[in-house]
Amino acid sequence: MTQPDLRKPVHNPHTASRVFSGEAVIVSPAENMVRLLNPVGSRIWELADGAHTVEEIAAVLTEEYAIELPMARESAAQFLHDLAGKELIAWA
Amino acid sequence: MHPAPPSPPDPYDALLGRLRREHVPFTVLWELTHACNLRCVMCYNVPQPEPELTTAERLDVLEQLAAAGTLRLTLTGGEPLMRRDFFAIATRARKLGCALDLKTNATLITPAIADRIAALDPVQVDVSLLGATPATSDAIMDGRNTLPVILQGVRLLRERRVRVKLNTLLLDWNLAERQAMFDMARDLGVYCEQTFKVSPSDVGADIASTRQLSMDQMIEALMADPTSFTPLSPTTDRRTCQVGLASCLISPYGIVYPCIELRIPAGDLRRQRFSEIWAAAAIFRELRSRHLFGNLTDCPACPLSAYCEGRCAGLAWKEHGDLYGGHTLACRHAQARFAQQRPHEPIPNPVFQMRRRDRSSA
Repeated sequence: MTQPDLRKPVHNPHTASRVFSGEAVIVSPAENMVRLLNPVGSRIWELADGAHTVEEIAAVLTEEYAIELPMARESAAQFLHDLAGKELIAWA
Repeated sequence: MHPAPPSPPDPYDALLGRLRREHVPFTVLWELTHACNLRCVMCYNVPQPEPELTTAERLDVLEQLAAAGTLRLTLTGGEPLMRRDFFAIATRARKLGCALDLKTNATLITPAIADRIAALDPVQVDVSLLGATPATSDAIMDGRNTLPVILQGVRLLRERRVRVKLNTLLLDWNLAERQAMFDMARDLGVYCEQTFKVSPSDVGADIASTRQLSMDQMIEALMADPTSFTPLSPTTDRRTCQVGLASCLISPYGIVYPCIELRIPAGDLRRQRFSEIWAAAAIFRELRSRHLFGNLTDCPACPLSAYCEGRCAGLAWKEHGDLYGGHTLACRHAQARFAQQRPHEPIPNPVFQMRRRDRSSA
């Protein structure tokens, strides 16, 4: 059985962001780039507030989207890993 | 159902289009003060006798902007670093999720100030470069020792990996130093943009037109500019610019305007909430519904319209009180662009200027 991922993602304070009608816009000065996320990615971004664990984020996704928990865990963890690789989030 | 990987920046224009259609005040330019330590010959600011917003008022405005959806916030002046509360305002803006741009003359940047600016993670710092020689820079800025101080300020920012852009306003005084200014920017490792626009003052006085480039000087500058240009094909339903859709200007006194040129007041933040001004001000409603190429007074019939890239509602309004008219600088710029693109053909006369002559002689 997969262990729950209890890490807590948090926005990198060097970024700036807003969510407009479910679409996250992230300004990354370090990259000199504006990144846009799709609705699911935007929801994960909203939940990456330093208070929610990856496991809790996955649970929210299963409530709001037609997705089973194992898939939600995998998707959220992979997505957050990508964001961390781009230095858009850190781990609280 | 998978979250897509973060997209490259290409969809940004689509997002801006949506925010403009939905009238989200995504971008706000805020003149924090009209105080400045320099007196540039082309400065358009006109300090008012009334007090500037207090720090508490500014912090409240920031909360209102963040709630309204402002993401890109540009802090300018005057010289914004003249404000003692500059870093309190800027830091609060960052905590509220705003991405910051800063426009400064860079003369007040010490190592300690540069550290504090870098800590704000600004998207970009815009600095004016007005001469490649100390004499020219000092003459235009009416200061002493301006050029080495500006360059030192830029270096301090670059050493801290802050992105800097140099804005070069070409005037008759500095045109001969144009290439040297570009070379200076290259040596500093920063982007340099040239512009021609000398704005009338905030109250319409034509304070600097004597320094504006002539058409022949504009042609010379365009000929030397390697930036490509594609002739435009304006249609009657095309917006002439995006003014009033997703951006606005706030003055040091809390007056909201559509943009830095168009100083028709939309509202007063000391008396109204930002959201109320943004949604209901008459000037915003007019700009959103009517500011289309087909509604311009003279421009649709102009043979230079494919070469006209600088027509500005604010400059037209300042010059002759008509939001929908042409204006001298845009016409001159379009003629210069035509000459650059079609060097062996006679330069057409702008319809705006011909009709204006007719109207004045009638």
